Amino acid sequence: MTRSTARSTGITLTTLEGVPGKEIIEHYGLVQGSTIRAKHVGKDILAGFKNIVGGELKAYTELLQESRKEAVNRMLEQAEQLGANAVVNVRFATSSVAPGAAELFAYGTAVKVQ
Amino acid sequence: MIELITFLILVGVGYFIGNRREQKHYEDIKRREKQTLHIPIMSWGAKQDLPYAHEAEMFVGSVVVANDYFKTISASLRNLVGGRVTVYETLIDRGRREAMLRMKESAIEWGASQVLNVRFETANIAGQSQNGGTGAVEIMVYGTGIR
Amino acid sequence: MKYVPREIVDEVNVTPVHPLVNFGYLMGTVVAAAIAVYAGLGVAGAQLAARLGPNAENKVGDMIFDSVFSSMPLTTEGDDFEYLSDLAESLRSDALKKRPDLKLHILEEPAPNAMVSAGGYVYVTQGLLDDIETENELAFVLAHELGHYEHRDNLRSLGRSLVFLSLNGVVAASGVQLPSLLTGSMGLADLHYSRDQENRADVYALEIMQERYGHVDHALDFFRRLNEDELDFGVADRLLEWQSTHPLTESRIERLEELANQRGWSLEGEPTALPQE
Repeated sequence: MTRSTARSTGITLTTLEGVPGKEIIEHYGLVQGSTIRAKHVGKDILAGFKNIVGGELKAYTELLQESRKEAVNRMLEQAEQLGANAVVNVRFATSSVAPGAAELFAYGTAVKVQ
Repeated sequence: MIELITFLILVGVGYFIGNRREQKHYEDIKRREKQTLHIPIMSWGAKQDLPYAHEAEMFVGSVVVANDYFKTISASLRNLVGGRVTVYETLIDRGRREAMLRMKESAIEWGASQVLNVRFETANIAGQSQNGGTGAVEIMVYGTGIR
Repeated sequence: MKYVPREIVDEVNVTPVHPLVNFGYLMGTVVAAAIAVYAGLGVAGAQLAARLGPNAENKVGDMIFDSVFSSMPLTTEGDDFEYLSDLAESLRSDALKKRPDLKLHILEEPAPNAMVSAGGYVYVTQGLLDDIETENELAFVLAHELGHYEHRDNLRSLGRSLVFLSLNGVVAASGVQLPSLLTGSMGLADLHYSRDQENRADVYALEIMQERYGHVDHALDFFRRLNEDELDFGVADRLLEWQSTHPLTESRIERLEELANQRGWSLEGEPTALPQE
């Protein structure tokens, strides 16, 4: 999920306070999306092996990217409901809520641009 | 005795393989950093006048890095002594630069001329068991690419 | 504003230290600290052992008996036991009479061995009673153990474990987890006597032999036979335990004979027979 508008809704996401080149006409307040994902045992066992030699845990990277995509999509659903065509000032937060489970959280401001 | 031998083998394997991979990774990172140097990365943007652009798009780069056995043992010893945990510095540094490169590369692919208001997020995704579980950290970078 | 692409060449976020050097430094520091702590515990334990009053010693002894020995097959009756406890009582020195009373037990074990634990608990295995041929041999083994008792050797080695256990309790209560590597290397069951302690107990026992029988002959016969066994059958398994906690018997016998010569103790004398069963 490198380009986060994975869900083709036509909603633009930015981390700026606006969309460059466009003017905000309306804003609808905060939208947020969150998901809590647990690691799966098989992956965890593989990761345990990987812990001997270190390096990137590709399985986890992908898992978290998937999860983050889901959090963003949920945020986009909220934005859609509000009739927005952009979400600005997007921020992410990740927290470990329980052993082996992580919450991925995305939030931003839903706006309508020209 | 068998436990001690297994322990030494794990530390040895962790050190040699982990170290080799780290060096290779650093070479790779440096090469790619040179390649992507032409794209300005800025942590401002939110409170500046919005740069003129036709399009904007958010980009995310993320990576999960794990420590090797040698690093784990070194760090647990360091826990007793205190001070700078040097073995983890390289790990986090690699992770951060790798995540940044992934974001940059996807922005370049899209045709961005710069990436604005870049933010970092670091999260420990390891199990919280007493013995440390799988020690891993997720590092993500996100920002707005414009073209 | 113009963007000027420039490379950052110096690695400022990474400490330029070789991981192995770092590891060696850490390992050295931790090991040195562990050794210091261990030595400190030894000193503290020895101090504790030397100051322990008879009441406290009795308590510690009862505790050890309850947790370790009470589950073993023990005998405290019969002709053998009566004879043995009379013999042990008669070997008690004046200094020992101020310490907790002897509590003798016969351990139903085939391996010849004898040991003393805190609080005057003396254990003699059935194997030892079967193997000895004269009273002198038995008296020497008993006197040797009483020597450990009088010198507080058992308390001394126990002292470190006691101090360590209480410290470990404090550390664990404070929530700090010592790495298992560290706790594992600090053996708790450190109940071996040092060579010096063995030698002192030997000399002590030999003095008692001379006092009691007027000569030191036959006292060491048991160890001589132990030596021969070893030569005949190689190192028998059942002897290993005995061997590991005691100095090599051959050098031990030689040293004691030399001592007897120096002090002018007779190495010739009639053995005192065991009572007929």
